[in-house]
Amino acid sequence: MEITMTLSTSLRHLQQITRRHFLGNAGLGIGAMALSALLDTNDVVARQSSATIPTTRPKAKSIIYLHMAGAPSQLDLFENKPVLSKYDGHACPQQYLAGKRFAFIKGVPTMLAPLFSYARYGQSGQWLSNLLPHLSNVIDDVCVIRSMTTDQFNHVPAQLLMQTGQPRFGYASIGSWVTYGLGSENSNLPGFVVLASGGKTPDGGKSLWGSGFLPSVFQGVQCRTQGEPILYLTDPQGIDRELRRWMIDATSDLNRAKCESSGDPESLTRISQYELAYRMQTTVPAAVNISNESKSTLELYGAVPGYQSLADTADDPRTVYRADDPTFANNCLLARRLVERGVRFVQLYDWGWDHHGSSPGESVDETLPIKCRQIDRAATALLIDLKQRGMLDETLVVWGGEFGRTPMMRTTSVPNEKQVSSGVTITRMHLRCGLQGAVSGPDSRTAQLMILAITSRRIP
Amino acid sequence: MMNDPVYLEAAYALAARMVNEANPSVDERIIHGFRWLLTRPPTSNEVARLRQLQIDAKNKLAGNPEQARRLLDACTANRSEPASLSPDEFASYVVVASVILNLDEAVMRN
Repeated sequence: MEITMTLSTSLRHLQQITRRHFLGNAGLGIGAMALSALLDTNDVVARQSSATIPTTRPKAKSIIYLHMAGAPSQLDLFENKPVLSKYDGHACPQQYLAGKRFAFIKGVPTMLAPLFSYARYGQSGQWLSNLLPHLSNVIDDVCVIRSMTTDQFNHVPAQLLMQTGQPRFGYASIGSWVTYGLGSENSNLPGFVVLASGGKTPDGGKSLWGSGFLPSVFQGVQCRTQGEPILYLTDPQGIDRELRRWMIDATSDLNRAKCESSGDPESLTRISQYELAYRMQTTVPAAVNISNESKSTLELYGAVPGYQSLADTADDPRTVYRADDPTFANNCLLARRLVERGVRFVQLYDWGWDHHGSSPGESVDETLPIKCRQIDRAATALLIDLKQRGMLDETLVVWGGEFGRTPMMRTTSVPNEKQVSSGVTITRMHLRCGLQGAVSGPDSRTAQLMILAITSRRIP
Repeated sequence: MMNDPVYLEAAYALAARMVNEANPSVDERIIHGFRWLLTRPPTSNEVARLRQLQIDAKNKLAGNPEQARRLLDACTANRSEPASLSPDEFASYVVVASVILNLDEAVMRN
């Protein structure tokens, strides 16, 4: 009986191999031929890679990347422009308009100077507007990179360019590259974690932390700040740890057997993802529980454990923004906890920095100060906290957006309404990295290294 | 995905198909569910692996009907499992169906 069953099963298996399965196997054969050709060029590859070994010993072990989605205005935060202030309200000179295209700007727009007052801070004498009072206290730990440009003036392609090096979908994000190259220090947590605040995820969507053509195990794992940190991480009622273990073992055995016959490495990726998810079921809830932090740490960040932001449920989060919303602060603290536990790359997206309209929620003069108060104390606290724990030398903190604003107002029928265009070609980014000890400031070699690390992704 | 409510409900429905539509043997039920999802019959090794899971789950849940009940309640608000099996035996097929649904071959990414 058993033999008959086995025979009939294998016979049926042969009979029902379809065109789809044939094509799947044929693809493998062609891939194998291509692989053998590639292997012949092995020595060329080896020579190329030995030529690119860095000459300095890198010290950074992890990255915390704070992306202000919507593009913070550089002219109102970091870039003091006294000459522009002289021309405030004047018509834009023709020489700056000829041959250029700007989003939302038609005809001859009027110039718009920085709206906030500037002062110099720290020994490095960095210019900062009065919107970032906390940051001014630690400005000597910050490099402001003023040379970044972009050719994308819509949010989605500009965000994709910043995060994947291409303004199109389908490429691997910087976080997935870093974890692909360096691996994770903690086998019980994902190597690349994404946290969002501001009521929405960035316009570019999940592709911003996708793995593109890299194995999908390197894509960012989005953690929620509220409720279950990762959706569906908790087993349903009736599935205990033993039963779950059996199910994952059976799934992995079948996937592994399939991988051996089809050669599709995605099967192996899925095996490791289920294994990681199983381990994360116990490690993640502990890692993300910020209520274990001391009162002084919570105060430093302005974090409030368990806070439920109105912005998370509002139809338009911008209409309910409050300057004391601690969601971003909670995420900054969470980022430190994750890096402490060996997570390689933590990325925070804060939505709501698109300020080229009129309030509520969309203007440079009213909304930008609110957003700054949401992030200023927390981002500063992150630097202070990492430093006092001796982690700042090994943690690169990057802050930036996808572009800035134009120095002129967008054409509008409402007089004196300060609407600006987002179609500017200067991106601001500042960061602190302990790569070279105490070296910091606007012209440091450290900063140059980091710029190269970011922009070289555009070169194929 | 094993914990996504949609997939739990789908596993419940697939288990019902396996029990209602296939000949009443463990292997035939597994083959039926497998073909529904993957458009091919399982190999004898695949059947054997899933059979082992079903037997383990059945033995475990038979000793703990309360756990089986909670599992089935978690799958759907409108329980209507086949009358031919006890709830704990049916739950063992839900476990098998959930694994089939989560196989890499069933989850098409590319």
